[in-house]
Amino acid sequence: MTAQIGASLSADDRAEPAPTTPLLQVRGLKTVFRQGGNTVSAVDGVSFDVRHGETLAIVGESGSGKSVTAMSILRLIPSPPGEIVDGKIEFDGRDLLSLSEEEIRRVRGNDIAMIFQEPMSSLNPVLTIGRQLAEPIQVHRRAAGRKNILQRCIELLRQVRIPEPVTRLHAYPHQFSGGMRQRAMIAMALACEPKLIIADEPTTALDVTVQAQILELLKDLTRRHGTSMILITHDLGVVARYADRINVMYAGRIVERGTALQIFDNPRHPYTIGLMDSMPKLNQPPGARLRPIDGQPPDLANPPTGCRFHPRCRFAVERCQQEAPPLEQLADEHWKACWVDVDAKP
Amino acid sequence: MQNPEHSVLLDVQGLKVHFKLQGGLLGQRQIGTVKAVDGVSFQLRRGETLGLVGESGCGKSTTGLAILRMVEISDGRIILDGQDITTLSRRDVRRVRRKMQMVYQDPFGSLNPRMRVLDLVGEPLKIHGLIDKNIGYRAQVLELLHLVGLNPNMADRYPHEFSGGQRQRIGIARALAAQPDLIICDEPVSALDVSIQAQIINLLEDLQQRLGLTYLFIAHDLAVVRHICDSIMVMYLGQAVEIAPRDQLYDHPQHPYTQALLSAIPLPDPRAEMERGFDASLQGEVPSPVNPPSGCAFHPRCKHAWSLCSERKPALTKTADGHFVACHLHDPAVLDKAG
Repeated sequence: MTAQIGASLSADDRAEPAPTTPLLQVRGLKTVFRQGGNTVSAVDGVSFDVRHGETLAIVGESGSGKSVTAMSILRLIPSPPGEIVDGKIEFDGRDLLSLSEEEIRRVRGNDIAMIFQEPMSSLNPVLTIGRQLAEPIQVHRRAAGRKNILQRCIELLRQVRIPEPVTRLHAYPHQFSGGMRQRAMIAMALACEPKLIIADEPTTALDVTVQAQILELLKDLTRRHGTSMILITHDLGVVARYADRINVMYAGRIVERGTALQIFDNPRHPYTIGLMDSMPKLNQPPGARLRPIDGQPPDLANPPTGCRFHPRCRFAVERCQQEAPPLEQLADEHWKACWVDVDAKP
Repeated sequence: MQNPEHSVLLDVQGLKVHFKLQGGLLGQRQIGTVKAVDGVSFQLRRGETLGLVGESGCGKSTTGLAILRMVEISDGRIILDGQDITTLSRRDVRRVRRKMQMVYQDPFGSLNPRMRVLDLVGEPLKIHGLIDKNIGYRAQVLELLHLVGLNPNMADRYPHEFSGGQRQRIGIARALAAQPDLIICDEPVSALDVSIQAQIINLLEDLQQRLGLTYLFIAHDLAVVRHICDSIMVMYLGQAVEIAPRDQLYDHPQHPYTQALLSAIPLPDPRAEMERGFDASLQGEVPSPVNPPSGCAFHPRCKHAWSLCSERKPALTKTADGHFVACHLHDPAVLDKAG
């Protein structure tokens, strides 16, 4: 893996060599929301793999469908108005879309855990941290007996580096700072040793110095346990530091996919190029004028024909209005969905 | 007298904003004080942009509100264009406020949903009596919409019909209507998507060029601040820890907090990230401003801290032209004694 950055673990700390079948395979996923006669196609035919032990980032702006993709995997789409209308999601040899409600509940939190953006609204304010931490362990019968469960909770808090874990078990969420709450959320996600963690903007609500600590912790823990992670974010800096591979999404579709180095060194989709040009960068000389992407993201109740990016694209040709481009392979690991051969170099 | 282009527009001297913390059964007993801003001084020259950066609770937004006289000032002076506005009466403040306008973070929450864009943007014209009879109210508003890149035929629409970026343009047009000298931008782009963020940053730069505006730019995104600001003040728990011209600050940060802040930001460049690695030096979180640490407020998180740092508060000391740092490591008097 070329993009593993600053790996701090020695080879024997790592999990056993990864099997060749991906842990998660998403194929042709389509999720819609119906409201008042309108159908919003939030995710429109998305396919990707998550391999064992890798961190895959899904990057996009608001409305790109990155969170809906994650919620679809866990079948957490509120229905109505939402519905997964097409596609296949295979996780560890099981077809998640054909599981019963009871079976998918056993997958959630146990095999696939989720970390949300706002820890305060995902924690129950009237239960102690200890109670909330013990719940997944009890539900999924990962440990039996009060003493063992307590032991496991303390161990988890220690893993996420919460000081004085024994006392903290009795604390309520409001007694924790934002960073500590997110640590507690991570402890809960780890409670059942999931194979996959889905982290949806896990640090967006945190200050930058705390963000760095939380992301380092996540990287460290996923590496140590060989856990795969889907990291959903709008922050390209976070992606560059923490992702092995990247899916760039726009208006419900994946427009480019590659390793972190491919996407940042050699972006090939006009949208990815536009994102890079829009951002002021700390490691480049100041003062250069930014080059924004013109226009606004589309209304997905009435998406543009053909390539959904074409109305904002400065490279668009006639074909882009008529036909949606498929994802095509450019190089090993590098894919893009665009009719035009764009050279990013100015 | 210097070139008026570079004259000082805003002079803030020893600004303090302390909030009383009420407690007791009826909430009438004072149980403490939050020193949201505790002795901050800086100058802002006409046509320039000063960035105010720091993490939540550092007092950057409160500083902005205090300058606008929208919170009570506990101590210090605010001098706008040569006039001391610290003790002006409410009525007089309203008159000076025309010269300083604010652009807010949340373009959704800061616009009245029941007002048409025409009136949202035109209201300041009415309030401050700026309607030019020769041009006409409507034409004046349309001109402002054009200035911020909005289609003038959208004037009769309501805020909910606009996207986030367009709403921020409306907020900017509204600020411009009062013909201000100073615009205080409080996180003006942090709620926007990256591609839209760049549109608004470019707009703010263009307007500054065309209208000679002065900006106080409050933000937490250090890459955006570097792009748009001429000089930067870094705040931590109500105090300025470092003030410097842009390149000085980014190329030679001197305060350990500024250094840690800069190294905590992930760069959108995997190669640079690989070379740089992760600086684990900044542990913990910002302490509560209700009960800040003694001495230098940053000392519990500082890897260079020694005994003096918990005992005595470091003063802002000049280390280079225009570069000031509040750290015992950079105080010549302290360094001499330490040998």
